[in-house]
Amino acid sequence: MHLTIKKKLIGAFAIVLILMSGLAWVSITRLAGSHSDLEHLVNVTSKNALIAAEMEADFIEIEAAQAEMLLVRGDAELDVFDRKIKERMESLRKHRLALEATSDDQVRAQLRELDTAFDRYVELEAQISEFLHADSAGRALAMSQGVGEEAYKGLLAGLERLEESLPFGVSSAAADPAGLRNGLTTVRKAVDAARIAEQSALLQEDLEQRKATMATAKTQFEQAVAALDSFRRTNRQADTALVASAVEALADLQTISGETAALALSNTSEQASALFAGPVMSLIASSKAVLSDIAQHNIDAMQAETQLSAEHYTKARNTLLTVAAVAIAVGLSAAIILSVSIGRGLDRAIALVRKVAAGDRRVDTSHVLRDEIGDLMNEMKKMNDALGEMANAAERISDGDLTVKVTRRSDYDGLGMALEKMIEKLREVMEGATVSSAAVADSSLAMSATAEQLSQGSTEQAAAAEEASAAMEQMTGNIRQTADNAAQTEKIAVQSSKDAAESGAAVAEAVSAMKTIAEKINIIQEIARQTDLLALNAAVEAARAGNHGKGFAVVASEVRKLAERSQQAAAEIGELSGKTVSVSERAGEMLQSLLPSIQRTSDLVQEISAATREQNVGADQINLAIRELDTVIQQNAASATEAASVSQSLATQSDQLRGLISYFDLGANMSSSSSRVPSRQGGGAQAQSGSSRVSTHRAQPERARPAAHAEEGGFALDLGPEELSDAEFERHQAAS
Amino acid sequence: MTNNSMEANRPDLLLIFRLEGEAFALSVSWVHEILDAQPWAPVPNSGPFAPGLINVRGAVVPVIDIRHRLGLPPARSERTGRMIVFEHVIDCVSHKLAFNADSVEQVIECDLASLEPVPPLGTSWPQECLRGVVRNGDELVILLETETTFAPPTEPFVAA
Repeated sequence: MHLTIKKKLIGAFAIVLILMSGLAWVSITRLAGSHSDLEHLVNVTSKNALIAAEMEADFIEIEAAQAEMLLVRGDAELDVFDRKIKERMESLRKHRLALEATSDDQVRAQLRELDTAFDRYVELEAQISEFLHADSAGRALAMSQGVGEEAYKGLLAGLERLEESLPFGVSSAAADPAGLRNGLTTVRKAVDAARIAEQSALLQEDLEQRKATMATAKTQFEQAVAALDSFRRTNRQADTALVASAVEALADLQTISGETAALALSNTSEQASALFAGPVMSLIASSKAVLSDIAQHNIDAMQAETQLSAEHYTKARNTLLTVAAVAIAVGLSAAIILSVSIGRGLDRAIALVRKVAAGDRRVDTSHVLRDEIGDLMNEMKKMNDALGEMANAAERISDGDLTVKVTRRSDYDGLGMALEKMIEKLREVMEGATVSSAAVADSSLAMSATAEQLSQGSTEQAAAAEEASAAMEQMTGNIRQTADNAAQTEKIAVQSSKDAAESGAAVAEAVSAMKTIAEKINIIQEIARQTDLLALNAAVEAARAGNHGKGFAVVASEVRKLAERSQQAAAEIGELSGKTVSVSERAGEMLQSLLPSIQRTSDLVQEISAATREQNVGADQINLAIRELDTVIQQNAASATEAASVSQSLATQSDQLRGLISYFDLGANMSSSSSRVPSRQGGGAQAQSGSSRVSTHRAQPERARPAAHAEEGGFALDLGPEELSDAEFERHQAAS
Repeated sequence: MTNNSMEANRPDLLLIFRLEGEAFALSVSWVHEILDAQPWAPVPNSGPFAPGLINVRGAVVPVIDIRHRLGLPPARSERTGRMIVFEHVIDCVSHKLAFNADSVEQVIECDLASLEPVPPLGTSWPQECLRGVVRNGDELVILLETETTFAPPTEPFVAA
């Protein structure tokens, strides 16, 4: 039987699920039972207990209302309490009906007992209400104070009028007026005493006392009637009308008092209180006891139900625990068996895969059970075999056999495709490498020649650089001399600029001095003029003195001549100095205009000097640069020689490469390209022998071309640039 | 005439001065002194003969316009030249008078006997002011007649 893991899993889960459903059914059933128990407890039993308690409360309310009713007077207030009691009674009846509907027989018997008590109470309550409404004491008081008072006052007024009508003094012969007055006073006193007795009787609580006091009042009234009667008889003259009205008033008062006494002695309130204190209280007490019994009964029922519910719970728990234990045991055993069997199979598969991944293909893929693990093992075996094929192919490639055929196992076979591509690319690369190594060998020969050429060129360059250096040094000498000359010129120019400025100042000074001289000359001229004047005056004086003044006249004439001469000389000097001033002023102006030019010349000469110095530095730098250039050229020459030797070694390396590439077997068509190798080596050897290299290089492309064309398409070697460099090389040779 | 008696005794001394380049002479005996030219204070309504006054060492001296008297053009400037102060007798009272000259040359000795009269047609000047012409070297010097020249004008002269 093909018992797969899938089927095993389905079986185990089905058993566990069936057990789970059983468990659920049991728990639902039990929960339903428990729910109905709880509902009964809440809706019936506890509610009944509550109703009983409310009924008890109603009774207490009724009792309280009844008690309060006894304390109030007046119909309106009594009606309020009446209504209250009626409401409570109504609610009691309602609660009773509700209780009867949901109660058992015991409770119903108790309720019937309660009904009889209740009916009795209703009768009693009606009686009490009647008594209270009657209120005899109150009405007696009202009568005494209302109608009685009125009658009393009327009587008093009548008696007063009667007294006034009595005559004063002893004029009356019939009767003694004092005696008559005493009679009236006796009547009034008796009436007063009767009134007081009546009032006090109304205020007295005790029935017997009240009766006694009322009797006293009655006696007083009778005495008053008797006194009035005696007064009527003794006083015949008295106004009969007045007396009659007084008698009538007294009779009224007596009647009213009698009625009041009757009312006061009937005493309905007392009877009501007695009724309440006696039968009503006992009835209410018995009813309350019955109700508390009912409440207790219901509480007991609640406890019993709770007990029952606890028993149900224990039973249900045990059943559920048993079923759950069975389900857990079944589920656990199934889980362990399945996980162990799957785990073992998978462990084997993982170990196998790990080994294959590590490249070890010696693996055991046999499996006993015919389940999914067994299938997996079979597939792994197939995979291993396929890998083995690939490994064989790769091994052959590694041995250098590129003719091996690899077929991809599917369109998604990355390894197969990669191997295919690898073989293909390796073939391409190896073919390319063969061709390239040949090209490298050729190129290295050409490079060797070029390097040689380069070396020679560098030598020539070095010679030229040395010549340039010598010329430059000579030039530097010239420039330095020029710089020295310029520096000297600069000094001279600066000096002449300074001198010119000084000359300008000197000329200005001379001008001012000349001006001073001119001024002084004027003074001299003035002096000469004055002298002339004096001499003239002296001559005049001498002339006037006659012969005595003759000598003096001669002196005066001489003085005058001298003065004239000095005046003339001063005038000449003045003229000359004026001329000199103008001339030297002009000279000063000319010098001033000359000064900027001299300054400018000096500046320019300084600039020339600076430029020459810079030129000197530049020339030195050029010299240095040429020397460095020379060094570089020397290095280049050395590098070129080195490059020649490097290209030689490159040729050797390319031969070695060719040897290495021949390791790969590419099939038959590559043999022609590899046959070229020895001829290249010969060319490389020739390149080292200097004079004949031109002809050798010429010969090479001619030989190489047919060889290149002989190969398969795509390997046309273009040696044009090499020819060009040959031509240049020839030109250089001609130049040197 | 004291003048004439003196003339007989000795040769006359003449002061030579110049106006407009012409040399004039004046007898030294009347000359008081020679001053530098100075401005005169004009006298209102004085007439052309003596237009102003100057102060000579504290004495107020009238200035005669000799150019106007001799019919010469007025001087270009009052400040140049010299001023000759001389004494003149008017109505037997000696007065000091002054006039301007362009320059004063010298005092020469001259014999008035060699005085030559001015030919009446030779000059346009007022004849009565000229006493005669004297030779001084090569130059001719006109000797002025002081009496008439400096006499205040009693009647208007016939001006040139």
